[in-house]
Amino acid sequence: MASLSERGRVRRSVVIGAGASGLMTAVSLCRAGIPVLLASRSSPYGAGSARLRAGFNAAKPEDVAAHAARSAELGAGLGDPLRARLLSESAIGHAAWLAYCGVPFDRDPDGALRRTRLYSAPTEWTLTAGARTGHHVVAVLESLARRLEATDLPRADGASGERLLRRLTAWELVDLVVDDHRIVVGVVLRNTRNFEHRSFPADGVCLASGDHAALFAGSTANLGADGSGVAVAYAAGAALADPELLQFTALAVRCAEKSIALPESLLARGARLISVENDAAERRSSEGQSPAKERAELATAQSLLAPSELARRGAEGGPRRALSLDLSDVPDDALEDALPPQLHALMDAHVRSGRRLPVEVSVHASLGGLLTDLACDDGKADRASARNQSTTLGGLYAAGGAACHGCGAEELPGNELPYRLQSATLAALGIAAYRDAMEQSAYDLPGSLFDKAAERREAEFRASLGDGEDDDPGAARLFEKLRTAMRRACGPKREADSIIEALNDLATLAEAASAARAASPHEAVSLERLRRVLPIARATLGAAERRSHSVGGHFRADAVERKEALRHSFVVAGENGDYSLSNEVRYQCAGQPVTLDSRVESR
Amino acid sequence: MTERTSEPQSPAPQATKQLVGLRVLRQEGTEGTRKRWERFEVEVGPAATVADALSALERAPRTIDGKRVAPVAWEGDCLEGACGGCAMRVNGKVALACTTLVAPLARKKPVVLEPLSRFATLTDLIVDRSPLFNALAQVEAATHVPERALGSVPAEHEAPLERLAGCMGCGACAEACPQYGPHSDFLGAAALGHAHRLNESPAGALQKSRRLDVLMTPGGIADCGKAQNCVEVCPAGVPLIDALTTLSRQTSLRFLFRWLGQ
Amino acid sequence: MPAYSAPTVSNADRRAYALRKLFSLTGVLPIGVFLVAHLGTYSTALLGRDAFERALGAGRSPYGLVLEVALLWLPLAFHAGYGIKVLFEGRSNASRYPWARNWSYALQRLSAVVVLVFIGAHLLQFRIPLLTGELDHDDLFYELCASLSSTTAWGVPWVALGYLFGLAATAYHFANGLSGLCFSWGIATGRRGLARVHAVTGLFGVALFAMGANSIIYFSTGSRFALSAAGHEPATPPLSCRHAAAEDVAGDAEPGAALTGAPAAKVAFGAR
Ligand SMILES: Cc1cc2nc3c(=O)[nH]c(=O)nc-3n(C[C@H](O)[C@H](O)[C@H](O)COP(=O)(O)OP(=O)(O)OC[C@H]3O[C@@H](n4cnc5c(N)ncnc54)[C@H](O)[C@@H]3O)c2cc1C
Ligand code: HEM
Ligand code: HEM
Ligand code: SF4
Ligand code: F3S
Ligand code: FES
Repeated sequence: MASLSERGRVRRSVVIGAGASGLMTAVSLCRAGIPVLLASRSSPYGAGSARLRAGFNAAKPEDVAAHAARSAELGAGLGDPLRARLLSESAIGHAAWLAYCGVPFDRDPDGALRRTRLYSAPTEWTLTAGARTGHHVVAVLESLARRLEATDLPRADGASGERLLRRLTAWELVDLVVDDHRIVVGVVLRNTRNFEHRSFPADGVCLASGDHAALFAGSTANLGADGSGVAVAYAAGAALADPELLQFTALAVRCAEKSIALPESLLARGARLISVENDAAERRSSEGQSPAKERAELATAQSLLAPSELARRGAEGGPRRALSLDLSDVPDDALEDALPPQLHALMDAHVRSGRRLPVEVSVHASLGGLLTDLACDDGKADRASARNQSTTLGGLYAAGGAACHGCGAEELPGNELPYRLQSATLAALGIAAYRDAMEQSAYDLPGSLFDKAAERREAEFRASLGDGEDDDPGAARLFEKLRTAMRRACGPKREADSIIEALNDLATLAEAASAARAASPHEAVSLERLRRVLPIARATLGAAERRSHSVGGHFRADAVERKEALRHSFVVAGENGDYSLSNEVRYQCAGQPVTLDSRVESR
Repeated sequence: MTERTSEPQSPAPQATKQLVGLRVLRQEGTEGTRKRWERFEVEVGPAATVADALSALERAPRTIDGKRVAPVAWEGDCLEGACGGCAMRVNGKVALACTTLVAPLARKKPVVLEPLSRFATLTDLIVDRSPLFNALAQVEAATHVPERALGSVPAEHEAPLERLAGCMGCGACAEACPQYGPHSDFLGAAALGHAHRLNESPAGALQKSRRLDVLMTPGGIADCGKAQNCVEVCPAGVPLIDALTTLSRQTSLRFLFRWLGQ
Repeated sequence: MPAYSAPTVSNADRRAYALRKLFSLTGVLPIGVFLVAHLGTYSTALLGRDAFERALGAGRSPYGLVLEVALLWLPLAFHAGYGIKVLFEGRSNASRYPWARNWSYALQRLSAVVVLVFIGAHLLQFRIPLLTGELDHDDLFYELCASLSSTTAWGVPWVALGYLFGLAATAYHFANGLSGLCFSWGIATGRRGLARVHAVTGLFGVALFAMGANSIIYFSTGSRFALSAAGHEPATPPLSCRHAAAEDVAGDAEPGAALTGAPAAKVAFGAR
């Protein structure tokens, strides 16, 4: 299959990933008249954003300051106060715009947007759209994108018949095309259906491919959130920030392949978290134990709830106390929405012991990701700068889960959707400024640069195909080993030697992965993805090992007293999958050199 | 931290694992080359879903006669019934693999897994659902991009509209609909549901009359045969019949008073 | 903002939609109305031969063949023809998804085929001979009694059973069609509304079938369920039927005669 680069006369920017952030970036670019190519592995409904249930934080004007302060406070010192303020100030504008576009936010009887108080929030500032807020935001953004796909480019600028937005679904980013100044000028995509490789020039690339929470066994993240997009940028030299900072959830029901995050709203509807010693206690408690003991249990369990405290308590030594969520007092309609169908069936299987589901602390999302810049002058964001959401690779931007959220050790539940829209609009502004400052368009570069990039990837993919020997472990088993190792070493409870042990496991795993052969093109895709994300996993472990103190929900059993200033973890790719941690990163953005320091106060 | 077994420990007495038989239709490429049935046996717990069985199979891709084969290709991102990727035929009927418990199905005979029949099969259980999304473009299920939120947002967004917007593009309604498929150009209940939802949203309502016109063309609302399977199989609980009947009324009135009037 | 290329609607599209609506309408007007009227006229036979003659006559003279073709045959041919096209657009899956509405979708199409065959046979048996003069209007009553009570093999009145089956298919098709009509014209919206409509049309279908079956059974066996159930008249055939037999005009057919081979008073099956 001849892989060819697709030129076209229209100077498009490329957005990778059609979750909430990818769609919002594409829509924002098109509204500024910039033609876009949006490529994504899954449909928007397969993206992590489509499953957000916590809601959309959009405080009333008088609560905006409190919302910003609470968001920054949860970051335990590692959060960026400017980003927190930008998020809380822009949230209500985005929410009203989304409501107008059709997101069915819940309403008060008089029609105003109804705000509820999330369990861990001091006041009401969270909008919800039934129990599927994320789904509705993604669905509306997709219908906006569909409109742009049917919008012709004005004659003067583009050729006839070219559309403002071009969308490719079931295409995956596998490589970036970089010119000799280390500026990103194009992308190499692989069709995950017929395995064709093709390269596209791009005046500005935005990575919105989600976070890497799926690298942890039992995480609640989508299987697609494996950091495979971030890994492409990391391999091309882009720096990561705080990849080891994770969002945990205390209400995860472990199913075979992953966990299911129960929404916190259940706790406001009568659900009770019960900590049960063992089966014996369980049987005694179901025969109606004394109310006093029941209340005591409840108090400990509920105090555990706030993820940071829970991670610390849950991670402490002593008999590992299984947690269970008692749903007997939750009204059926609330239960109907909150639980996916198979959990209803699961509960029927458990009906003997009262409506209880075993829950545990699980990785929910990753808060770190590609290091992204934010241009500000005297404490306010400079919206016209090409540095906004720029990664340390010129021409490459990042938004949403793929970028480092900048919220620090923990993200305020319900901030995720406004963060996605906020980072997407900023990325679009950054790319627009980048395109204005560009002297030469990627479309003027020689075609051979793009053809070679696509052919290299094609050859590599073909090489990994072959009739695997009978005892070949296969990509799925290797992936399971990776996820188990990451969960054991880098969950809520961490210590140096278990992290180092995991680093060695990953080294041997990398060898096994490069030796393995795939028995089908599909397996070759997951094998290539495994090889690509292993460096991200090792970078995450490296950063976790260096952060020797507990912060937010991340509890170091062997914590040491922190002497020098609080720092972010900047990680850059080293040789053959290795990583190097640095305190300072320099990069070129639209012609100007930029230096970023990992000290927290440097902002 | 103790190593988790792959099944949740139900507080009930430790549930035992069991062997489940699977009979999977395999094929490569849309021409259906090397179409063949393969028999597997997988060990799963009582709470395992069909998706869990398929994942366990991926880790040990061996048929019951011990032959190592390429792992069964299937799609699914969320594993909790929210993305629609894993819609397939389970024992002949459309279902989401990730929310269908497998043990109850496999008591007597192996569970039969086939790709959806209404779309072109790409590999094994993966189908090309793009006609479903192309249909959305045809009914102009697209929202005009407003510059900024114009004034206060009308309040009639009650629960039905929220339910109405629950479609995740899984294709179950198309699979169960006797009128949908290669034999007809019916756009399918999902696309019509989307069109109705947009007609009811403030930004979408601007193109309502044009959308109704489009729905009155061949393949639109008139091609629905009123079998009402779509609303029964929809995993997202989208009130498709409310949408289809309301659209029928609106298009019929438009036919009587606008089209005949011209 | 760049030009937005919206999908356009051609005249051919509008015609296609209009045809679909016409198909739906013809199912009720004139075909459905004719059906009810037609069954009505043939149930007057239960009130005796002269009431039947009068009803038949009343329905006869103002029609004229031209009117009959325009108001009945053409719409029926169009509805049947378009219906066949609609048949081929569907792939029924009622066995796999056995919900009630899915069965009514499948039976609507199956019944359509049965009705097509029934009307064809039915016209050949009566309408065409009446047109070609082979059969005279006055002998219609006897012809009906003869053929409906005729028993060829094993003493089973096949023709009557055929009529009952055809009638059942027609009644179901019309009733279910009315319910489908309420869906496709949005007369009833939402599942509760549709369920109500389906119940009402179901009753109507049963009533229609009962009316038609009553007269078929009367022609075939001479017993009149409805009236005897009403109990105000003994279950013997009306005087006119016996009187006709006595005068022995054109054949000795009277309701149930051929079936029992004896005076109609005794009924072959069904206790008195
Ligand atoms: C169960 C659950 C509940 C959550 N709840 C919340 C919540 O309530 N609020 C909240 O704000 N956050 C929540 N999160 C976290 C949040 O969902 C993720 O961080 C979020 O999905 C990131 O959104 P995104 O738009 O950046 O990427 P995603 O929404 O994950 O979209 C990424 C897209 O990129 C595509 N893609 C990935 N890799 C590639 C590649 N290499 N090439 C091309 N395309 C690619 C994917 O297919 C996908 O379509 C939750 C996560 C989970 C799993
Ligand atoms: C006495 C004769 C008939 C009557 C009273 C009748 C009546 C009806 C009615 C009222 C409908 C409902 C239309 C709608 O759903 O919108 C209908 C539908 C239908 N008719 Fe008939 N019809 C008759 C004969 C036939 C014949 C001979 C055919 C031949 C094939 C036929 C085929 C169909 C089909 C396929 C439908 C289903 C349309 C749909 O559900 O969309 N009908 N009929
Ligand atoms: C109760 C049973 C029925 C009897 C006894 C019966 C009898 C007759 C007779 C005798 C005729 C010819 C009379 C005439 O030319 O006026 C006729 C015509 C006709 N019948 Fe029936 N019929 C019955 C049921 C039906 C049914 C169920 C249909 C369904 C569609 C039907 C459709 C027609 C049509 C279309 C004609 C030709 C039009 C006409 O001649 O008026 N009949 N019927
Ligand atoms: S309407 Fe329901 S069944 Fe149809 S595609 Fe959407 S979610 Fe799936
Ligand atoms: S199943 Fe099909 S026929 Fe109509 S009512 Fe639903 S779209
Ligand atoms: S995997 Fe998302 S619906 Fe089954």
